[in-house]
Amino acid sequence: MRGRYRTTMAMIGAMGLVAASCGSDDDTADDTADAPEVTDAPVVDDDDHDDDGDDDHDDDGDDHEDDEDQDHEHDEDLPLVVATTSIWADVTEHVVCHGLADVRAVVPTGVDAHFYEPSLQDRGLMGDAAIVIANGLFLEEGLISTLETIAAEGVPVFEVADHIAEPIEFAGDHGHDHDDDHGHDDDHGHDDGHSHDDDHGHDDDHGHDDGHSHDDHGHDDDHGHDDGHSHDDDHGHDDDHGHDGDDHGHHHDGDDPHVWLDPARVAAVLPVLGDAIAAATGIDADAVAECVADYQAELLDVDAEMTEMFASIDDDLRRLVSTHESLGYLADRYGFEIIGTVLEGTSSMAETNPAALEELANDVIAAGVPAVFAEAETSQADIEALAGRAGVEVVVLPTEALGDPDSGYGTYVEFLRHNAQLISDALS
Amino acid sequence: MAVTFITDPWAWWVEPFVVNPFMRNALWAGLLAAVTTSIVGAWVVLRGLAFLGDALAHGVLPGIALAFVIGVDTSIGAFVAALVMVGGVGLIRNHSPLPDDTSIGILFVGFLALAVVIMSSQIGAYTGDLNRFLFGSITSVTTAGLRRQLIAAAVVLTGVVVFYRAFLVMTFDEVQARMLGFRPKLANVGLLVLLAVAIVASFETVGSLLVFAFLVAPPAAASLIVRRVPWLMITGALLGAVSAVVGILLSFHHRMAAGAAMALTSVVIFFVVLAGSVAVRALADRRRDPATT
Repeated sequence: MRGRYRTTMAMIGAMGLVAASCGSDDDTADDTADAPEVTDAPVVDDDDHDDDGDDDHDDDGDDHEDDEDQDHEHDEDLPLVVATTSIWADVTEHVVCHGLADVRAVVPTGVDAHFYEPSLQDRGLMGDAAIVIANGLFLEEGLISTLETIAAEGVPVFEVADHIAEPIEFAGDHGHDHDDDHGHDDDHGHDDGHSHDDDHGHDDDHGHDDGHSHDDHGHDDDHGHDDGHSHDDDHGHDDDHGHDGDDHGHHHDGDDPHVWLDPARVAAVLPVLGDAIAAATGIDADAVAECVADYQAELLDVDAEMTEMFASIDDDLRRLVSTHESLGYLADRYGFEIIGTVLEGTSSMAETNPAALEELANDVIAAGVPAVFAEAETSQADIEALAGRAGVEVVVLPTEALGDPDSGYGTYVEFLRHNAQLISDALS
Repeated sequence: MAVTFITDPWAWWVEPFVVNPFMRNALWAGLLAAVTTSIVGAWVVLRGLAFLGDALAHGVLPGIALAFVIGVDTSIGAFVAALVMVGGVGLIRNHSPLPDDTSIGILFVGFLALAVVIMSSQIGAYTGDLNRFLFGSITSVTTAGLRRQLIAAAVVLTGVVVFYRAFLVMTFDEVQARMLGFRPKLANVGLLVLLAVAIVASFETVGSLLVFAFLVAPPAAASLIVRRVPWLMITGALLGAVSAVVGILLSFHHRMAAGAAMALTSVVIFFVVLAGSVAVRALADRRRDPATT
């Protein structure tokens, strides 16, 4: 993973590189900003994001006295809901109807959660929250121990990835099986998903979602992922707050944390998320359920839109090569094959090596795809080398975080469309 | 400019610790880390061991990685790795004419590469916690961690007091040390073990990258102010403590990454002291000049 790759770099380069890698998080956002854009996404969030940004950064500037109050205590009477990433903050904002709760993000927009180091202010914010929404599956590497600590103090921590139906492993491990399984429609292996959900007692919600998200859109059930399930059982006990310090290291091996790249799966989680937030904050559960339904519909519309966009891609070009294994859910949902990734595996110390890169370049040439995909939040040196060797184009996707409101992917919905547009343009 | 720390000192300096239990935990952890490393750091600066300190602060990583793989306490892994590195430096010194910094450099690189190899061989194994060791996690201090730091601080303090004369003589004159019956080799090993203890106990709080800052910056600043060794240790520890407190408060008020805020503060303090000492010397020269002419 890229955060981990950077960790390697930081170690080798020691002190100096740390600063460098922190600063390099969004330096490529510009590359993607001029891409074709789709309109009409909810604007409300943009304001909210603005507020966050201003509070946090301007206090060096002028407001003298209420630094502390503003920064880590939310001033309103609203319950405080903290999300770790900008994407989950935006989703949560929709779930709480844009105003039933005060939603804050820990990791700023444009910054990759893999590598974010928390401040003590973040610690205070999370400790004060009625509930914390995290991605889980160790996406937020720098926040893991802080999340464990606040969970131990009794703050509910909702890890979205734990509630995602049919978790998939990093594509690299199963890349080829994947392909074989295409089109074997063992419709609703979802029942497995259910048994998982039963552990959490949320089966009702899911039953209803399955109807929506999966029947409507044909091609979701290519599971080469059955082992994902048995795996899943292993950490059924993890539900919400059971971060058991030491051994977590070996539970989630290989599960892909980038669940947000499948809006249908996210839509399916929303009712559970809404229930958890309503229960923790005491806000109006019926109102939340309504907003959840609305947002589900919106996400499923986007899902349909994305399916349509991808429909223009030839079947034999439905192949992705990316910097690290972040596109698994997108591939799974929309029927792409992941040929390979520059950074292999999930080890924090993983490095690429020339032989693997050469092999991957040959695969790219053999596949005949016109483009490979880099991540806006990651260094692009390796993938550019790969693209140069294979003679294909590099397209930069913002996969890890939302951008600024005017970036064209300032909300989750815009972000999904933006990525779908870039991918379909590149491969069509 | 935000000048709350002057206009409303209570709210800036004290209240965060009064109101927030996690800030008190962070304070204790930061103070213990700063004091422990800065006291050992005084000897690191005096003896020119900064590079070894750096190598050790990072050389613990393969130990942590191995501890992950075989599932033992990472502190034990880190401590063993530190001892192996110290032993390795001694080994090369005894069997070659190479200067110490060369042998340290070789082991430094070797240990980092080893850590990478170990982690890379564990494809699929989760290793995100390595972040905690590189950057620390003062946002999630545990009672167990505090206890471990307290023990380390006690060990280091005791060690420094017990070995004080031996360290002192060895630092300034090894031959005389031997004549006085101090066994400089043993004292040297003792110092390096204390160094390893201080590093291992502190890296979970401030992170191994930043332990190094506490190890050199406060004692180096102190060496510009005071001459006598006991004062060097005391002043270094005080400056380290100030760095920790200011860093923690900066992280709290201005949302800076916690470990980095502390390390940065210690380095800034060094440069402030340096500037101050240059100014004082210039003033003294000017005062002397008219007298001499």
